[in-house]
Amino acid sequence: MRIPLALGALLVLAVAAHSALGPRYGGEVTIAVGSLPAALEPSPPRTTAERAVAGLVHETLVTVGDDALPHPALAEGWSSAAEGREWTLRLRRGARFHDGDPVTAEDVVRSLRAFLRGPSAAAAAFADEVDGGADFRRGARDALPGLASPDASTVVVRGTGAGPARLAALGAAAAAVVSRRGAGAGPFAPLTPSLRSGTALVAFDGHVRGRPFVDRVRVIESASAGSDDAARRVDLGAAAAGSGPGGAASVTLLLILDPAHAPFAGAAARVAVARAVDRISLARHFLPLAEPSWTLVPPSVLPAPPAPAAAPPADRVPGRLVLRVATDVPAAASQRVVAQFDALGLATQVVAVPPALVLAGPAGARLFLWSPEVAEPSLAVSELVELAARFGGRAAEAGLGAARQALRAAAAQPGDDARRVHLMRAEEALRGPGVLIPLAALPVALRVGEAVHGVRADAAARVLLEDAWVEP
Amino acid sequence: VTGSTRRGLRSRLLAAFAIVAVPPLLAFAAIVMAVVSERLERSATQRLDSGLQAVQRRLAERRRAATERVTAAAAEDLRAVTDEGRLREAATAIARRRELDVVEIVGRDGRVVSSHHWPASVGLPDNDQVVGGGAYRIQKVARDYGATDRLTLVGSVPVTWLGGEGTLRGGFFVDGPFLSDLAELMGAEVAFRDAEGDRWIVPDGSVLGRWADPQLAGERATGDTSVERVRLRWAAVPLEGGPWLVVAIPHTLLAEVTGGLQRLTLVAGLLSLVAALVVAWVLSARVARPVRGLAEGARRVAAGDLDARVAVSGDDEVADLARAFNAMTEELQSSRDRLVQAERVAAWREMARRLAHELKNPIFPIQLSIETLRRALDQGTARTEGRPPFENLFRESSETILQELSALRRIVDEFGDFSRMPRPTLVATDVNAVADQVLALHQSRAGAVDVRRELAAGLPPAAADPDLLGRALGNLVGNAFDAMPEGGTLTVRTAAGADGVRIDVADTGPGLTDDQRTRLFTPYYTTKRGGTGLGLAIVQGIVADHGGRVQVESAAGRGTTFTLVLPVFTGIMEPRREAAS
Repeated sequence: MRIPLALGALLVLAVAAHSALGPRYGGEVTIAVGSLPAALEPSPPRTTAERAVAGLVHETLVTVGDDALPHPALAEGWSSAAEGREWTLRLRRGARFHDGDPVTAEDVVRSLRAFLRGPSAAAAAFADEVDGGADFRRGARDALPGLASPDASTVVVRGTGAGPARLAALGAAAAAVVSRRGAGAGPFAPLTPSLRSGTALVAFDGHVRGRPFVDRVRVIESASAGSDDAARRVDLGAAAAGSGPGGAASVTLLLILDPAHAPFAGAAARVAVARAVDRISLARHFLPLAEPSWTLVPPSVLPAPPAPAAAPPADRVPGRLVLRVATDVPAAASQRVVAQFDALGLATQVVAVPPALVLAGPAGARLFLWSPEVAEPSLAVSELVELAARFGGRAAEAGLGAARQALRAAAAQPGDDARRVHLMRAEEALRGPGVLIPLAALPVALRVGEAVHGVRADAAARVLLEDAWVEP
Repeated sequence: VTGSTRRGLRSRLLAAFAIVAVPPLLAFAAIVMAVVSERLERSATQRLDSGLQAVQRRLAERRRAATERVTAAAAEDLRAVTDEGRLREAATAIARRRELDVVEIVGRDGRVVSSHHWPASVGLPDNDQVVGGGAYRIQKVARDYGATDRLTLVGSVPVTWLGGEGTLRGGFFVDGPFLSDLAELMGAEVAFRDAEGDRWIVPDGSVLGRWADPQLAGERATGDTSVERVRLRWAAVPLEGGPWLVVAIPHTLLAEVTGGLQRLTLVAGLLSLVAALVVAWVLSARVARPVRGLAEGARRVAAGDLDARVAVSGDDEVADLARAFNAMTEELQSSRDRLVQAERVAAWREMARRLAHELKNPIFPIQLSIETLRRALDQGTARTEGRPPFENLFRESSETILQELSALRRIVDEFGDFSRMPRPTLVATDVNAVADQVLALHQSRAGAVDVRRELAAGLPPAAADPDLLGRALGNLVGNAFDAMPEGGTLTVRTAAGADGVRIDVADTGPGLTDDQRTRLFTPYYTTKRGGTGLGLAIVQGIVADHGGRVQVESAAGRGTTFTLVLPVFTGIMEPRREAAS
């Protein structure tokens, strides 16, 4: 009897010791995503899955850490001149793309030019801060004097006269640097030019932060994920779908009311909706891992002010509307919003669409999960300004003006605290017109198999597998 | 009986059969259709009534079950709720335990405390839409990222919990699937009409949902309507404290049955018509065939073929007629044989009489002359005073004998000619030329007779033997001269007629009596002294051999006209007479 017990104890100890051995190279991890990204080219990610895949395949000049500051990536360092309005970035020696080509300043300039003309909100903010960037982004000029490559390993970014450019914008996924042939420089190299369910990504030996531990990452769609090998799988289906080491990162459940569509043409109706939504009940009963949110920027990026006092009952807003809901929004949360609309007298027709399409098409209201492209407070607020300007129109003009003014004031502040105060004012100004209505902050929840370790999400809700390792 | 007559008989038979066969069938079909339509109409009404009753029974059962289960849940299940957390889930627990589709607990303040079917409404005002008195409610039910409106039939009881109080409502869906099952069971469209809300509650795909303006009033409504080209017979009743219940039956069945009957009637009518025509055709053929045989037989008899017989089959009236026809032809044949025999005997007698008469006339002078000579010879040859000498007597007697012998020879020649009438050789003959030759040949006999030629120009050639035709014409011209010894007018006229070339020989003599005209062509019949009576018989024989005919017009005191009609020459002509016999 003692011998079996001893053997059993040894077995348990062996298993425990095995996982306690720490990171190790090898193995394969499967990532299950709700829907595969349409393309592998750098672009603003809309979903957790897109952010994760972008982080696996591509690398940027800088990364933005939880401290909201740029950190070296393909650029090993930078220096400023002209009172901070000119940045000289030095590329990391020996940095290579997946296709074997070295990462050169020419590749960086070409990639950033494409970034500046793309749909990224971070690009819009960066273009305003780079000399000639605004005209270049509009297509008015092809010359971009604010961006230069004096030699193969140096990139110079020159800001406008108004102030320095924010290097954090270069940490956006859309600002990833790709080779002339389109190859990325991320920690994993895809075996095929486009993703299909089951496509494997292999560890890239030439990655700037070193080869990842995991040999292979297989990307599948959640619908095709079986129960087998769940221990080595990371599920990124829905933001609040499960439990896992989401860390401090979170996304905002955001409701946009479009003043161009009845019944939200009047500010009173929008404000009534903003006041009527019971955020506490929503977070407590319909989004188990979420927190009620009264601010647009996730608290992981910009600290939230104290919760406002309970609002008086909202007036009824009779009417009909189409609510466009992104499919990565938990259905219970969407239903609760519909119930809130119903309680206000709004007959709601729900149209569920993929996250990438939620901002397209006509709708009186849109419900989706939002997180900033770059986890930097001022860029996040700038992105929201773009969003408010796109949907708010004249109804949001006052708020937009105040927000932009606060943004400029924040940029002028030398201290972080003072800058945050101005950014919070800008965020509050954006909420004022009732066009952008935050409802809840959802953690980037992951369902990580027990054999997978080291998976984490950054402040921009990007799931990172660079440091992940898997038990054999 | 002609072809047209045959066709008429057959057509009449066919028409008669069609008239007899088709109208009764059409009348029968009309009656059947009327009866079937009436039965279908009645059946449709019965189905609507029974459908309404069945749905009402099912709804009453559901309502009773909902009330019972909600009452039981209020008494048992809610007491188990001991904290607010469980209260929120109480509605779902009750729904699962009591097998209810919808369950909600609503507080006195009108806010939803717990909801199974629409959890998103918890904490919010109850926003159900009540249809009618309250048992029927349109409730939001969670679906995908939003909700859908469903019609429910619920029972309600007041309840208390953890110090709170309100209402427990639970019940069943009575819309889409419920109506769909009933509709499938009944084979009808079933739907609810919320008159106040101006909306339909219908199963998926029901055409009733597109009925724009139903007129529902009173305690029961019924009628016919057409929705998107679908004709419906419907009936509706207002449910107690709820919407209108509408049951409708597409007219498809009625239309299909009626259409099928119409098609069946049409096909049956056509088949009957065809069958009647076939039967009529066969019967008419069976009737017409013996009639046609009789007609053919009659034609053969008329043509002189007394050997003609018709086939006799069956024992009906037509067979009797055929037998009578055969008997008649047999009798005719027998009578003709007897007549021919009698005529032959009479002809021989006539011929003998004529011969005796003709021969007697010359023989008697010959005999007298010879007897005179013999007597003179017996009395001696001495010349007697006052008496002619023997030589003179001999000369006179021998002269008489020679004359009479000449007459005898002429008689013999004529008989010989008559018996040796040659077969004509038909060629294209210019009748005018023949007439000219004949008149020129007989010109010397004209005497005081005025001869007129009225010969038509452009006359078509006749199919004739010129010699025989000349002989016939010569006989007629000679007869005409003989008929006018004191003078008169002889007219020879030719013309083209519809039936051939006509030659008229007209005189202005005394004309013929009826008896003379009847016996005119009888051989050896003559009214002339010294005539043989063969002239006109020869004329008739020649013309008959040419395929022509002879006509006579005469009246006493007004002369006589003989008309010869000869066929026009067409190329190949054959004489009518068979080999001389």
